[in-house]
Amino acid sequence: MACYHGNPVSRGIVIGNVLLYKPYTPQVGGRQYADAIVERKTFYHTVVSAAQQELEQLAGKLQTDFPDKAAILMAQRALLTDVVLEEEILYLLSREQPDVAIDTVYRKYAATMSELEDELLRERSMDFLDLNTRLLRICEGGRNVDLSRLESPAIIVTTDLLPSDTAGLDRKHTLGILAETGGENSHSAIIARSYGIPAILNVENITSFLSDGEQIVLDALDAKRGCVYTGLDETALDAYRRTAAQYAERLEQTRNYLGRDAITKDGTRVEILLNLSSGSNEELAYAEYADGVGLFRTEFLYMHAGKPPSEEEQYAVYSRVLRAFGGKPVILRTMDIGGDKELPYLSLPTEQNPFLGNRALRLSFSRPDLFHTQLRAALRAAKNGNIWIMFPMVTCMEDIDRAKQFVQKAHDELLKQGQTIACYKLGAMIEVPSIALLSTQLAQEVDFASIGTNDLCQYLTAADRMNPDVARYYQSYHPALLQVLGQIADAFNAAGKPLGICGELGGDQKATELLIGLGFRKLSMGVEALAAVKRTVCNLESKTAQRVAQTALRLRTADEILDYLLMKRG
Amino acid sequence: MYSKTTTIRNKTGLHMRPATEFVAVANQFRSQIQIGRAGTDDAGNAKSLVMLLKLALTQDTLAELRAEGPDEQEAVDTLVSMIDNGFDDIGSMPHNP
Repeated sequence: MACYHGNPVSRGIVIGNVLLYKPYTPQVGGRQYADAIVERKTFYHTVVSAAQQELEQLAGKLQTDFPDKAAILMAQRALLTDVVLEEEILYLLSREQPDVAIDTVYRKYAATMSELEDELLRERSMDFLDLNTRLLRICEGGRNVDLSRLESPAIIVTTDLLPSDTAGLDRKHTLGILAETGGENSHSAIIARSYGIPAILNVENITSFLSDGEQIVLDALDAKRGCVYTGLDETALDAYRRTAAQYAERLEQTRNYLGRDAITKDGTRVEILLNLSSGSNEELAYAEYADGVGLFRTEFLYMHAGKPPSEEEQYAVYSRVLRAFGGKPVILRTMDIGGDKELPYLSLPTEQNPFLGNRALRLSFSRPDLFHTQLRAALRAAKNGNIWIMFPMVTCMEDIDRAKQFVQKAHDELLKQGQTIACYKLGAMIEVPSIALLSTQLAQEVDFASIGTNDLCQYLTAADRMNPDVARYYQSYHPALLQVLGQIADAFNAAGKPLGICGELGGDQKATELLIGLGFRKLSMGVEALAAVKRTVCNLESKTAQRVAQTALRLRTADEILDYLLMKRG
Repeated sequence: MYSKTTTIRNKTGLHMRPATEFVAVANQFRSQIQIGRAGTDDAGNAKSLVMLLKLALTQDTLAELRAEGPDEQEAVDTLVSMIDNGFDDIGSMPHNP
């Protein structure tokens, strides 16, 4: 077995046979096409019109699916008869053979273009080289090697792909692309992504390591490192086939369920919310597929610079996120710093038990300057959307009272300064057992709550999951966690207050039915889980889910519960 | 000789596709047409895509068009209006001016 690495420019995984594609390499000079100048000119015109025909045919094939690519080829076709180019070539033909004349002029312009400042125009240099190759091949009488019509499915392995190679690519039969050169934004990369063909570029000398027809695995699942495996045995191949099948299934889910609402078969609407950790454009791009934000972590604002974020900086970020979600609720969690998230500029003392120490809301209370600034920014941003402010690490009712006083202070101050403040909600994150057990009282004091199952599980089981010696005590399906989740859901549903789950369990498809059965109607998760959880919801019944939850609540161990859930899912 | 100056409006400047359209229209006139950066010697044959690309007329560049020949005024006016329309609506450009 051997493994080669490269740049995974288009994601996916595929197992297939190699098609070594050796692009035509021009031989210029040393050949006598015609003696008389007139004959050379006639020959040149024949070559040009043949090239025009090839480009027209290629463009014709692409017109429907890829009008952009067709347009580029038609522009190339127009270049062929460019007055200036033609003038220079015809002039050279008086003393050179056609291939030399063509090569000289096209290379000259390719070089000129590659020196331009404008990046997009610089890339056009490729068009001149592409045309040059096409013309020289026709000069030599070479056929157009046709990647647009492969005989059987194959992974194309080559040194580099010219735009005209990729443009005409046979989509149905091209399983993947491997090339020795090319970057993230090369022609090959762009077309591979738009066709959805997995591709790894910049794989050194790959054409000399692989032979035609050889079976390989092209693994471009990792965003940073693409791997090509050869000489795998059947067991290994089977493992990759399974991975490939799972990946294909995930892709299909994404396509089919992403845009749907999550409604059970018997009509129960479940809100699917997003966990955001940076508010980047990448995350916000999913806004239309979610019912809101179940957890907007604000820590990143405090992490990236050597000082705390200003009110204006926070206001801008919060407003941007709120606007992206239109009127959908966005749960903004105030800073959750301390514990495992340290900040040098705060120079916090080292603690014996950071997770039991001065973290999150507790830290906010001990740094009123930071807390006040964050609350001012959040309250001001309220007018740009539907903001729900949530406090992390609430342990007792006094925490809620105190946090509300902070909000009131920021609110009054802003009003005094003539600012208008739109509506907002205040809520608690339930992640400490003490407040979980007080859910009934809590529900009277807050507008909403959301459960952080990771910390709640850690505090319930007294186990640090990062510590390998005790990680097995941290059980996401611990019966005690289930009991607590059920109690919280009952308390909030009885009070008619919104309740969500924003820990890992919220995006865990195995837990979806159980959570719905326990009475949860808001699940929050990372973008990668959206489609899968929506699919799970759409394929279950809330009545059955209730029975599943009742059964699960009677089981003795986390393993029994997990086995039962897996069995139910089939 | 007839000439006019105008500012390149469209965001991408005279890139491949707008330039191709531009050259196609320019080639329908009999006059000799030059396009260049106003106030400089940087100019070339407006009927040549190669020249146009080489000039790299990006957004906000002040371009000068000059033509000499039987249809010089019409040529310059047509091409200037093409630039002024920002190539947004290439389909409605006059192909047979």
